[in-house]
Amino acid sequence: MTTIYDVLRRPLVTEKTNYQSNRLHQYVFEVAPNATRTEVKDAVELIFKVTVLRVNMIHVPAKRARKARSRRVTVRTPGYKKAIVTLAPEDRIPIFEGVE
Amino acid sequence: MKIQTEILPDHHARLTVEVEPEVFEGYQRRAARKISRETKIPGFRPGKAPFDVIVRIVGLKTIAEEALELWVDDNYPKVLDEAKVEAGAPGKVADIPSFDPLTIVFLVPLEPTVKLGDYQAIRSEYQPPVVTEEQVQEVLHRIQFNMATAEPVENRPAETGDLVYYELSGTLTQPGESEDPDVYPRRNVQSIIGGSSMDADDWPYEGFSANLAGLSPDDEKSILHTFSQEEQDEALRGREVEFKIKVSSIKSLSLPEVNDELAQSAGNFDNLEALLADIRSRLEKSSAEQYDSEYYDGLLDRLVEEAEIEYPDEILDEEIEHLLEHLKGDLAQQNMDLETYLKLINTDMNTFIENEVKPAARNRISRTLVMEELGRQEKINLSDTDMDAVANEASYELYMMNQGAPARRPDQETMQAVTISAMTRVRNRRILERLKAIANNEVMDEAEELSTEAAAEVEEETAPSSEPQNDDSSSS
Repeated sequence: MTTIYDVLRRPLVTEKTNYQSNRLHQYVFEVAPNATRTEVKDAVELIFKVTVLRVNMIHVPAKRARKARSRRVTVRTPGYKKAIVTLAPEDRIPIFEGVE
Repeated sequence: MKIQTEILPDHHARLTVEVEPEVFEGYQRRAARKISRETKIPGFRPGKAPFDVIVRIVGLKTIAEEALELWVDDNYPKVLDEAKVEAGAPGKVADIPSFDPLTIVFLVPLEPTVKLGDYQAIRSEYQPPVVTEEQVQEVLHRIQFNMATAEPVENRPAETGDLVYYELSGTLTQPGESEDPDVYPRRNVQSIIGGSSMDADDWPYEGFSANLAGLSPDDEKSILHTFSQEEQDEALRGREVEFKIKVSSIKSLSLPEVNDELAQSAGNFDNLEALLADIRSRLEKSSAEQYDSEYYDGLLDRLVEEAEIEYPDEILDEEIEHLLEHLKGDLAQQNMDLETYLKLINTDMNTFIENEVKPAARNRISRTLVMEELGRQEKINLSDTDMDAVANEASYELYMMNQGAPARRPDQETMQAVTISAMTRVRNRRILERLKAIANNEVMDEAEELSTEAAAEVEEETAPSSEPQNDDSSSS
């Protein structure tokens, strides 16, 4: 059974998302592949007690690359669905900012 | 920055430093940036991860430690300055009681302190040894022996003073198991019965050649000899060896007469007097050198005895290291390494250091320190002429180092090292001269000093190669 708690998989912390959360007030999550904008909005609002203004979603495609050591073996990075959540100016999500 | 200084009895200073949190915060940020450059943090290019992310990944403790290192690197000299402590060797962080606020305990070895005793009262007369006529005659005698002509003897057995050629072999009478009884393999030997000044009669044992007396060519003789317990070769101590001698020929030595002719053939001297003068001057030089080194050693020992010297163990360790390095170099020239050498003299590293190296190191340190202090107290500075001497010595050394190698400019480092060592040498010489003057109660007032120094300079210029210890300008 899937619940609303299964929608958000993990927060994405990279240089880019760091910039987005600091400057643009946008927080980025990896979400379940079948999640919709509304589900993400509900999940974020419910879990972090914040107001979501907008949700942008994107499929990050799977990528393959050759292994550095043995060039014949290819490695595959799985694709995932990414949600970029814009919050109201007064809200913030603490897990993106250091240890809490 | 709050500093508490505490001087410990073993010549260390214990500095407890408290760092302001704001300052340390800055260092933590720097440390975090450094860590982010060095560790791979997923999602971020090296050096771009924000502080919080780094804290989450490596932990605050790692950052604090790194920051501590940066802080110490930057501020250690300042700490020493503020605590007014003269460090004699690199200090170390002994303890970190707390990170918030940051408190660091440094253990700093102090600069050695030297309190010279009443060195002005040291008296020791400088009396270079006089070369006696006997010594000269002895050398002459040796030359005579060297030039002696040997004539075969046929109609009489060997006598004392004859040169005998013979075959010698020696075997152990009771060889142990797995021992080669042939301790002296058969070989041809020549020796002078009763020995000579040139060639002492101590091989294979003392007084051996007496056995040759009375033998004629082709005579054979065997001798039993038991080596004493003091024999140098351990394997022979207390063992009985049977020596076999077979005389092959006997020659009598006739010494040349002592005259001008001898002088000429001994090495291009015009006459006997020139030869004698040469022998005498050489003897004088070598005995003066020997006396000088003993004399100065004695003076320095006195100085060290009266001085109160304190230095931290680090300096001793450094000196030990230095001496060992030196020893290794010496051994390497004989194709040996330290371990083999230690096995040879039957010790292990620790006892060797404790018994041999440590006292030597202590001795060296005390002497250097005492000399430095004396130089400071007596205000011995190098004059321009001294600097010339330094330049001379340094360039000579560079030349010697480069011999055989194609001429090229030595790099800065070697130049510096050579110059500094030359300077120390010249300075030490000056200090020793001053010490000698003091010991001979010849310290003069300044004006006089200047004039004699000028005299000394002139002398030095005329004979730059002569040892300054030998010139007696300071006693004039």
